[in-house]
Amino acid sequence: MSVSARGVGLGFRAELSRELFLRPKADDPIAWVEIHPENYIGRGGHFARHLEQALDRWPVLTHGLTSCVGSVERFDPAYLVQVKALLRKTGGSFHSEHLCFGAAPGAPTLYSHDLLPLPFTEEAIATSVERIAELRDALEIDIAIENTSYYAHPGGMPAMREIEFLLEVLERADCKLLLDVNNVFVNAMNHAFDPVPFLDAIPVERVVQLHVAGHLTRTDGVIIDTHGEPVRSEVMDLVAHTLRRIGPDVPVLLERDGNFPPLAELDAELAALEALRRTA
Amino acid sequence: MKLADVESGVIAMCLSPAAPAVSALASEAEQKRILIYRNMVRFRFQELAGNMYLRTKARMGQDALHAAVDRWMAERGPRSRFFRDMAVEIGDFMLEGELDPLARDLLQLERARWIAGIAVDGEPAPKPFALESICVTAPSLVLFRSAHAVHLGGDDRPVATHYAVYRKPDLDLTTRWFNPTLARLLSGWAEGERPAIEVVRGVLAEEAREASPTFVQEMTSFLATLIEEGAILGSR
Repeated sequence: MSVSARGVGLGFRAELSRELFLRPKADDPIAWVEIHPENYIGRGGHFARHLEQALDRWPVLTHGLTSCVGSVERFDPAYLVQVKALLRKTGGSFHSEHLCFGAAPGAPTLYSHDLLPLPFTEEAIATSVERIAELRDALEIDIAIENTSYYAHPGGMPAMREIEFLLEVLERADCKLLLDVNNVFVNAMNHAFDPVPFLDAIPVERVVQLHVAGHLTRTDGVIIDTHGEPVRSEVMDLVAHTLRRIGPDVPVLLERDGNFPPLAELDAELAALEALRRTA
Repeated sequence: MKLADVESGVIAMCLSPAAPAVSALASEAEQKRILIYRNMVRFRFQELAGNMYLRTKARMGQDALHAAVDRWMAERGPRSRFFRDMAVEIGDFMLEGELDPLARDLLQLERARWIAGIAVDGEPAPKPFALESICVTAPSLVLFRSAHAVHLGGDDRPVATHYAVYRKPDLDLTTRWFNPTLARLLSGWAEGERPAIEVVRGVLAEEAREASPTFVQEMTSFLATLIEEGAILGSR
């Protein structure tokens, strides 16, 4: 059975899990959660137990960290079998990965454990389209890609703009989009473009989920996508704009990966996002 | 620049020991910006090692731990897609090299506790434990020998000690220490190659001793604890 998520969810993190499970289900402002398969595959103990508890309590969507679709290296089929088994448990209607790379080609594969930017080139488009098809074939589920933040253009100045690159991948791979609104804002500020036309160029029918997060502005003005700060009002405005375009049914996820505040602060951010959704 | 070269180049930039020339990887205007990735990747691994190996870090100092992580990045590199494995990979690499003896033992303990915590849950064994059958131990069981009594916290006396770390059914981690005979028994059982009784006979022969009532009582009590706490799952 396919699980669908609606409303505002929270990235499920070990640091928050115990407190989240303690509160009564009836008072829970979290409509659904998102997990990273890499945190649960081949792992027992508290993580396995928390996943079972999460599945009992919320719809669970999956968002991978290491099958980045821009990787030159083909995916490990054995790992994809494990992901597929997890997806059967979670029952989501799609699985998402990042439009970036995170490993070096060659043997042994070396992982960066950070999301690294792709050059906006025809070759990167072709590679991403091929990897998305590989994922879809192996997992037998719709694939959504997430637009990532980038601080520089690796390989030199780009052959095209980010939006052109993204739209081309979406179209040629015929895949879904997990639209990270904070990443659009971060990139817009770091690379001096207007985020609104970028968002308006996204085909509404491709968007299956939104991500919202906080970021850090360094003293030199560069914005770093940390997921460790409260969501900025400018990003909330862009979320409102996006929801008005796309409609309130798209699930919205608040990501918080570090510098965890008291749960009440996250609840307030969830409530603010829910208010935007209701008025969209 | 080919995509494969970009990907290899950026990863090498992140993992290489000295700040590399990045002229091939970014335009002149973005050369500082591309180094953000190097800092992010390196900081992440160093932070992880510092958080996972707290007592080791306190013993060897943060700079020395970071230097070890730097060497790991340069010489070995992160090979698992699972971030949780990075602490193990870094720990393994450090244990292969030169380390202050106490830091080595603290690292062994902290590494063992991390491995025990992340191990897969054990499947039920085909049958209850029987000496005539091959023992099935929990995937979380980690055995090691230390030159220091590192379980004592602040004392850490230079006393050779045998340890077992495992996850109990309530998911709490436990660290047990015992004498060389029990260590040999558990090590033999954990290998899962011979019936448990043959391991016992082998240890007795190795130590040139008989199965005295004291030995039997000690072994029985040891077994009961390991079974009750989930370190031994049963037999096959």
